[in-house]
Amino acid sequence: MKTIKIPYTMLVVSLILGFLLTVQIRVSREMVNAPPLERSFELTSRLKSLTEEIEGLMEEKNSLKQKINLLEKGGKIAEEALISEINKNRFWAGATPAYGPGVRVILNNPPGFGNNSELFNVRDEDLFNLLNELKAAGAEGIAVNGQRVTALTEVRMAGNKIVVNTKAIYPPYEILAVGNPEQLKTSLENGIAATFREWQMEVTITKESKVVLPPYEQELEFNYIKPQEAK
Amino acid sequence: MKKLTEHLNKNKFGLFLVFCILGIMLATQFRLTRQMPTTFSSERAALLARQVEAAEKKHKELTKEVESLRQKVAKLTEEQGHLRTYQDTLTKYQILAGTLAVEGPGVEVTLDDAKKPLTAEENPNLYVIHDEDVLLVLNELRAAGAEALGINGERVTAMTEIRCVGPTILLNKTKRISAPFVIQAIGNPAALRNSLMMPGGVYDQLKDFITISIKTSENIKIKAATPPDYKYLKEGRG
Repeated sequence: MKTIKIPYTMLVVSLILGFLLTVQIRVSREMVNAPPLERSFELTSRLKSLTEEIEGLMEEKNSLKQKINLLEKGGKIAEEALISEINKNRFWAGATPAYGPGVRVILNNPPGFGNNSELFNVRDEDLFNLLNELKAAGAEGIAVNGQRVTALTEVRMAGNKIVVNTKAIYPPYEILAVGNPEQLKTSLENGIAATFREWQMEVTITKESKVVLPPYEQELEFNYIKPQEAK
Repeated sequence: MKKLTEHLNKNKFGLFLVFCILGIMLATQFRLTRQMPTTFSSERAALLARQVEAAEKKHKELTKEVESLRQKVAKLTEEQGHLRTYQDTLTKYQILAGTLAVEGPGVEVTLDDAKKPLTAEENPNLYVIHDEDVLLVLNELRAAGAEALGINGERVTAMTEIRCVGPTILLNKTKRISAPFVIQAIGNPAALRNSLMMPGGVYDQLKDFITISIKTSENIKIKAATPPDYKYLKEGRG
């Protein structure tokens, strides 16, 4: 009887052994497939730092977008404002052509030659006094022989020539002024023109419905001046 | 089979060996299964890996986007550079138009009526300041390279008239200033001064009639003029 039981024990033992072997193999196979503990920790910390970096990038993206928006809007507004201011000031400065009603004054040296005749030739002071009269009579723009009169325009003798905006000009002198034609003409006729005529200079003043003034063409170069500091 | 059992039965040592192996395997199995619960399941690790992958993709996209936005900001900022050029141009025209308050080195020419007692034969009218005395000084300063002109702080613009009326000067239609008159010019102080002091020049022409003094200054301030309000003048050639 005993000898018969042994094979059953052996069978059971073998079965358990087989089962255990199978489980063992499967478990160890699974162990190899599954990432080790360190890898999972690494993944988690990588995910965490990635998420943080993404948040930072999102923030930066938004702030950059805002900045671009401001730059685009501000830049355009600033540019438009600047260009409009430049155009206005160019016009006020006399650096653009300009036109309007006004007067044309022709002034020439006294005719005839003889003793002392040159003494009464038109001089720089005659011209700048004339310009001053036109300004006082409300002239809004003036040109002398094609040279626009600006805040920095000189009218000055250089030898026996008159220089305006560093360019020599020659008689007859033609002065164009924009303003109220009647007022400009009357003011000259009742004042400085009478004096010029006494000196035998030739003066004609005509009212014009339109005179065209050329732009100031000197290079603007400032080396000493600067805007006053805003307080 | 019977032979084998008999053989094993006879060989108790074989059976002992089998149980030894069984014991070792059980022990190993037990240890392995104890280790298992502390590792992540493969699904969880895979999920993490997928999340990391997605995050990496997003990170890469954002980095690219931020980089291109940064370039755009740089480009726009550079473009603002030409705004500075516009601003410089504007300043130049404002200086010429007189619409900007300015300062700088230069000269101050002080004019006043003659202080000397006059004899009965002398015409007192000769010894007071006339429009043309002021105009003479202004004109000389312009020729000498003045960058801006003023009288007692008031800006002299292209259309500024000078009207001497008694002890006052009227200018810019509405401004009235009193003696002494200080004609201010911003520019190279030495050049401006030398030009006025030339022999036979402005100083020599005026000094016998009126009081004139010239001094250089490190800082002259001149106000802005009111922007013109033209009634007749229009821009262009019509």
